Amino acid sequence: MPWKAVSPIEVYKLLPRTNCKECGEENCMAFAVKLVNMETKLELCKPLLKESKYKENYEKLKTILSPMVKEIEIKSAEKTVKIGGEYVMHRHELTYINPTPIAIDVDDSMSKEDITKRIEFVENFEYEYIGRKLYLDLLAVRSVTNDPEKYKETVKFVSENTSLPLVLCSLNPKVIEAGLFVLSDASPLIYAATKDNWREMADVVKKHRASVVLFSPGDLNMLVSLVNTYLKLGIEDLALDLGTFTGSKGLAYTINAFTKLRWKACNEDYKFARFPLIGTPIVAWDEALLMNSLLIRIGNLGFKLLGILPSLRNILPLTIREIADATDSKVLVGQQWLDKEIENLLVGAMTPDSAMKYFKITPSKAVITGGDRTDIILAALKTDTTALILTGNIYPEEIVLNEAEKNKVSVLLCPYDTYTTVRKIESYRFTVRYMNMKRLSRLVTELEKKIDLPSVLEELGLVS
Amino acid sequence: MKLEDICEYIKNKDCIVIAFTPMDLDKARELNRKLFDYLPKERILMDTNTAGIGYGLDYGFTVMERARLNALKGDSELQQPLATGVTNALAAREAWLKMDPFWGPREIRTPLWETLTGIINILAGADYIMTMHPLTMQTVNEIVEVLMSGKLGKAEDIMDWVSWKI
Repeated sequence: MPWKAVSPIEVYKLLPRTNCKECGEENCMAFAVKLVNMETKLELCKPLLKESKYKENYEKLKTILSPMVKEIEIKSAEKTVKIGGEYVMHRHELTYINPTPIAIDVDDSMSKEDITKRIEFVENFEYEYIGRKLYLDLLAVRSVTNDPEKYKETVKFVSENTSLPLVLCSLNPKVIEAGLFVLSDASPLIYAATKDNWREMADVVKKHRASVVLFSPGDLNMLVSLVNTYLKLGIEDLALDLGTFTGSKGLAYTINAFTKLRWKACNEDYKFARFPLIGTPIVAWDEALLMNSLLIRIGNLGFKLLGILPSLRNILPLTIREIADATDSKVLVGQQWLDKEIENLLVGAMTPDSAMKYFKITPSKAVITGGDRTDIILAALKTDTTALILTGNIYPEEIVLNEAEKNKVSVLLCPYDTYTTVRKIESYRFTVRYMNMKRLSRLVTELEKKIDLPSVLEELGLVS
Repeated sequence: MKLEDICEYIKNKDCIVIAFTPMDLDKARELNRKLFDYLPKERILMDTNTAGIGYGLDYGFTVMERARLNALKGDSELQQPLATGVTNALAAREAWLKMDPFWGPREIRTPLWETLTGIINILAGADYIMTMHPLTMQTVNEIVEVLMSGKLGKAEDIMDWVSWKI
């Protein structure tokens, strides 16, 4: 049965309806509404959990409210990463709840310096995309040496140096236990129980109340049998890995298998599939290397590479001086930096907040805006800006000139309106006149660098 | 340009038409319905618009996915092959902007961005892919081949990845 939206009334009827406020809401109805909106947790209703007369209702509520894919929490002392918790197969049926986290590995054969370097890379990795920061989520510690003591030491070192939750990777239960031993205040994810080690791994997992990945590469029946066994043993925090096969070695199988498993979970209520799925693209390591080398040597892929024609924008960046000439501007600040190059042009017509998004991701730019837009100008000066082009002959405030001087940004005062200014710059940008020898010779050298001219002529049959 | 005029013209030519609509299934249905009056179904592809990674990919993906699922469930107005212009991926600045060397050379970022958008669109059900970079074309073709051959992986190949020395 696919997931169905539940009405608050349906939930309300199963709650104690005493309005005791223990959950923090004003009354049971408000709690019910929050429950169906997935804004609170059923477990906050203490009477429901404690009093035996509600037991049946609690079970019913759990069934109708719980997601089709179980939510597993991977925790360090400071951070929690949630996986699974999904209600639907396709996003358009409702939405997806938890974004897929990404784990980067370290292993116990690496030196402490290398591990520290890797951890720093992962922790500092950050990319701001339209006001939202993207991070890496987890660290996976692999046991290469298969030595419990060595592993224990590594896990200890890693956990002391990172705030991220960990994934402990080894197929040897003794190694995993050694790792768990030093992680008393965290709940890591264990990778993995297989058809060969499930018995010992189950003991370890149960003892430490950890969540565990069941790994059965290419064997769906074995996977289901493992899930069944673990559920019977009372271990319910599971995640599934059917094996990540890559390229011609089984990528098609992997995609099919993952899709089928998730389909079974979401649409057929198949209880052995209702767990998060784990993919391990790390197994494609050698292929990624191969691919990378192929990418770099484009010529080897069946194309004869004669050259890449760069766009004029890239080979002929404008200098501030050229922009000043093209727009008949007066230079207010920065006579001495006129030969700096401009890579990007931005028009600042928005509010400073919205403009900031674009300012931040655009390096060495010229910002075109009105002289009276002090807000926009100051925002631009906070980012990597090379020049300000103030339109409409509006003289800016003194503070702008001072700030610009401080940040080594040229300020041009231009007599035209913004649209005309942009047009003038753009039309200048794409023309190379023969009297401008500097621009011309630059174009020729750049093209000679990028294009194998003799080969082009030969391919065209123009030389014998 | 009026649809009626152009349809009158192309119906007598030997060509395939891509029905392009901006990420809206109702509009896609409407356009298909109108085209059916002039052209046989074998001559219509539909393009529900593509967005690149970081530029609304999930919207494009979900519209395409819905179109295909509805078609398979019997919606006769959406039962046309899906075309996708994955070069739209280059709308994302990261696909071509000069960035810190940490993010890799842009000569690679461009085809990578386009290729990944292409693969993701294939997973949503795309039948016909339009690309600009030759490397994208090559890679996407190879991946389609790999996906269609559907071999079963060998478990022993990856069984012990956990302890690989990489």
